[in-house]
Amino acid sequence: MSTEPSKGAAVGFEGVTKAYGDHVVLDNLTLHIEAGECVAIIGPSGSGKTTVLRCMVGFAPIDDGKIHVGSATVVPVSGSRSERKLAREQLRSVRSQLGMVFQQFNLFPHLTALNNVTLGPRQAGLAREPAEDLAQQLLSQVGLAEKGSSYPRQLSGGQQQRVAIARALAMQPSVMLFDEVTSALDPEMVGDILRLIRGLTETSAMTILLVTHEMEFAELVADRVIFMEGGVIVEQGPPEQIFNSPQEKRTIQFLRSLKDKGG
Amino acid sequence: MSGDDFSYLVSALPFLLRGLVLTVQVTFVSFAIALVVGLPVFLGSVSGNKLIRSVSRAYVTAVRNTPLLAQLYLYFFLLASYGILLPPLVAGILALSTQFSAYVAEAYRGAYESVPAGQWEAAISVGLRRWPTLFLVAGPQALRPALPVLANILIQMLKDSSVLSVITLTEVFGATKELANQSFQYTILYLTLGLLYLAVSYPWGRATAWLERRLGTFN
Amino acid sequence: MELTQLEFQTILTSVATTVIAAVVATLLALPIGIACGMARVSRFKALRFVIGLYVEVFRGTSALVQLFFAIFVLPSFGITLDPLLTGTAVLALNGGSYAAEIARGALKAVPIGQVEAAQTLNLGWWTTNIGIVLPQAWRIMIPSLGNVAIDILKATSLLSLVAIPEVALTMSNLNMNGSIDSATAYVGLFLVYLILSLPVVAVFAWFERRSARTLGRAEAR
Repeated sequence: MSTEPSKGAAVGFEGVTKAYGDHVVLDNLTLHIEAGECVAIIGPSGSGKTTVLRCMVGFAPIDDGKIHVGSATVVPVSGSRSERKLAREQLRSVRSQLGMVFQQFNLFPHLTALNNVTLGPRQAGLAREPAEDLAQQLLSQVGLAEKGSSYPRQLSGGQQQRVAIARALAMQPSVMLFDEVTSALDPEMVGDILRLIRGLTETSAMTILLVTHEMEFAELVADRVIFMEGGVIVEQGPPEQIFNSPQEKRTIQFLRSLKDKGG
Repeated sequence: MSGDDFSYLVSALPFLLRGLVLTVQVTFVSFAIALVVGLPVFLGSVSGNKLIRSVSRAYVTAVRNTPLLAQLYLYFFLLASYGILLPPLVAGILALSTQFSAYVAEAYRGAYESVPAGQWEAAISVGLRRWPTLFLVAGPQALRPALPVLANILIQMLKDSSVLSVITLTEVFGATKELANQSFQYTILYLTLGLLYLAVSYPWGRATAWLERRLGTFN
Repeated sequence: MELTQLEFQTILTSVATTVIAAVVATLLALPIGIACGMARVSRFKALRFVIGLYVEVFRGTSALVQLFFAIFVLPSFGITLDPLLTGTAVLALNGGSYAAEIARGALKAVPIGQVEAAQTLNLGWWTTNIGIVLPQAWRIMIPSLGNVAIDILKATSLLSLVAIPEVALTMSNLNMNGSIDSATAYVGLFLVYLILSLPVVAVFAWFERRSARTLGRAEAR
């Protein structure tokens, strides 16, 4: 699935720390992701995996360290006005290279599916007709060709998430972030979304970061799996290693706890 | 503010403060009555009987959509023309409490509706009938989010009590008007009046906001 | 109980005054309130403080007190305007302070995910706040703003206490000079307000229906 080929961008975390009061969510995190790589981040809740994504987009300001997204950098919030202004510009640049899909979809309820998708490109300067053509094309590619004039409340959860994916793709990002995008869906819709994402990994050059609970899916599409717990990377490596021969005790424990739950 | 102004204020203050005391007294008495009257109005609005529901709704609409002043005129001047001479204090409390009983009834209803349906279902499943459930299960749960709303109503009543000055009740606004008409010291007096109201309403408002944060609200 | 032609006209004119004051004050109060609500959730501390001051002062004192202040105190500072204008402005500012609190609550009630999604799309301040957040906040605000409109209508009765010739003043004057009896005057006055409140309720019910058409009630399919 491709529109115009989006080149991937590299992502780098350098000693990133994020705490809420006393509670440390990311602990001196260092991570490097190649352009075009597909990385799955797994771990128990509270491990910091969602925070990794949120820090990249600037929803959670970091306390220490740096995050590189392609050509831009996210830095800790500082005092002076000019520094803050610079930081905001960098954030805008980061966001223009990113696309994000949320667990709760976050579609704009007062806009049609089509307008949800065209809004971003039009803001970026695209005229109405080419934006609508692009949006229609993307909606077709996610399997919702005739749903352009529907409002989110008229769509099922799975359909809404597909619109959300189209909306993110419309910005032609070089890095796509998926934050537990199937966790809020009914089981029968999860497969469709996963197939869509798999298609993306196979046909586009984008760097993809996937925070997920779907272990079989992570095993299937990821080039690398990262297991996080307590704000640190416990273990990372190719899926065969993490799922079939995990090295760390905590990794083993986590995977076993999933099996015990019948999952 | 000159020295003369200040000394005037000092001399006027006792009179104003006596008025403030009356304001607070009238407000609290009316509030208590409103809390009581609001209950049957609310119960009527959730009754199974269509007629009772309509009566309750009509009462609430009539009382909420018309000004306090108009209702005051009814209790004071209209009744007087039929020979029923209510003292200003009685008429004032009557008007204030009836108007706000409608708001109180709405607050009770909001609280009642905020109790999750599952509570009622659970009560039914252990054999509780409608009224006992209301008082033993729903009531206590509804009370918590209702408190900030009721606290807001109280402060609203305090402010609206100024209208009662029309029927010669010397609450704090009436007292201020009287002094202003004698001394023409409008600026000092009305500024002080505003500050007196703020001195009561602002802390109360903050306390209410704190209550809201602690107890949650349903509006 | 005969009313002269002149007296009847006076009543009609005073009703018109009531309606005009209420409508103008409401048309001013709502935008003022929404703008102030947005100011209060903005990131500019000074703006939040100043607007906060306005809101606390106007909500902490009654419209009647504000009215008297505007009519009796402002002239000594050189600000003397037409009483009806002053009265309407006070009602607008008073209603606006309540609308501001309502707007603030509604803006904060819009799910933060909406703002986050807008930020990932780099939508910019205007589109995010006016195009995405405000329409959703408006939907939440409508019932409470309807109450503000009713309150403004009721507050026009206070204008009678500063000798502005709206309907409450006219009716009580006509009763005082014997032209109409108490029942006609005061029950009539009561009914006038009740009847005038009906279109207000209808308008806001229409707003609610209209916004339900697009936003809907979050029904999952």
